[in-house]
Amino acid sequence: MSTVTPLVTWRALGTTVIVLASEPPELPEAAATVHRVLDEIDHACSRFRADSELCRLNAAGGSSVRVSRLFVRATRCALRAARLTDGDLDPTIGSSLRAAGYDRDFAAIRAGGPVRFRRAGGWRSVELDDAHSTVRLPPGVELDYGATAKALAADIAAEAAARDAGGGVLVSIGGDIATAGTPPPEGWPVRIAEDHSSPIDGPGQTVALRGGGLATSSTTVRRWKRGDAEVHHILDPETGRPARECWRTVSVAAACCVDANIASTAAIVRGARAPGWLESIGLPSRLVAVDGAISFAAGWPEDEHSSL
Amino acid sequence: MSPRLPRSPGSGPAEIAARRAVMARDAGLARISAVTRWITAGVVALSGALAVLAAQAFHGHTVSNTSSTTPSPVTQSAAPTSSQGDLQQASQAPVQTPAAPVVVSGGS
Repeated sequence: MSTVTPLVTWRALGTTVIVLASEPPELPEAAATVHRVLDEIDHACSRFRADSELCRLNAAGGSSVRVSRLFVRATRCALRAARLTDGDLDPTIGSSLRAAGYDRDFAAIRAGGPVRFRRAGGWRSVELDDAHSTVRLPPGVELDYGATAKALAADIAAEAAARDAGGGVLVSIGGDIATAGTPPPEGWPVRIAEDHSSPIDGPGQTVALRGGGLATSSTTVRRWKRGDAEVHHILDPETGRPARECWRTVSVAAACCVDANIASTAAIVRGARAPGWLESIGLPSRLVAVDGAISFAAGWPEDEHSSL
Repeated sequence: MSPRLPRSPGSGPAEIAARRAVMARDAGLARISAVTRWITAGVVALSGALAVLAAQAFHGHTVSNTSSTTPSPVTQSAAPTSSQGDLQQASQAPVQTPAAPVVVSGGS
């Protein structure tokens, strides 16, 4: 009988990575595969390492740049997110984040300096030539794949690890969770919280995940001060300003981590329109309002005693 | 040069005029047929030229689903992420459980 094994954890992509395997002997191999995938994603999509493909493209000054197939895939994923959310998630938010002060790895952000708000360049301006593996951006437009790349990495890593190691695998990257293979008989027990780094035995609802992905987006964790303004990292592409906080934390379950993360982040941006939208697309969701009130949508198990 | 009409002993002026009319009609039809062939050939050639110009002018600006020909070893799997369609529901929604959690989902 399968049992949940001890986890393997380390830091990558600016956050915490956790790997679990349903078959104890397979955990080291699963973790090794996840390591390799995250290295590849980091080299392709990081906004904070000068040798990444994304940085090379952002600095190309309007020229077409040949990229790896992984970067093509990440770009397709980001453009799909933009299309499915009518631009509420926009990969051309890079210069907006930089203007708002998020111009280095989050751990290195310093307080101070003026804050500026700059709307996104517009995702429709990204020219992806899939057949020739090239991408072109208009001059001045900068990409940031923060809304999709970690979730994509989790999905790819979980799938690859389950294939290489066998059995069931769960990969969490900063609390965005992907599963693959055969899960434990009772599913993967996941505690829902505002901060993925909070203690495992802290308060909050625990749900069993039997497949697919689960993502939580929150305005409470990545915040910084610039001048007199306190800024969080989920920007509204339309204005370049931090999304108005109707919900401070949204968790969504979907067929994969990418889809869950697209929905949870877009829900923060959409504000009051989010519950109706999540209900209409049928993705089970848990939404925590700024005042702490909890709402549920599309079949998320309601827990009257749930706390944060 | 006008075609010469055959003479026959019994041909009167009316019959000669009728033959000339028939031959004139045939010659006209032949000219129309030749012009039609030239026009058809011209249209075909022009269509081909326009197709080549359009292919050169408008290639490469669309997102397509062409699969990888040189995938990296670890990231080559397309499943299960990001179809090009709508956001996809999981086969089973999460359920409340009394089990001890093994991982936390939260903001990062």
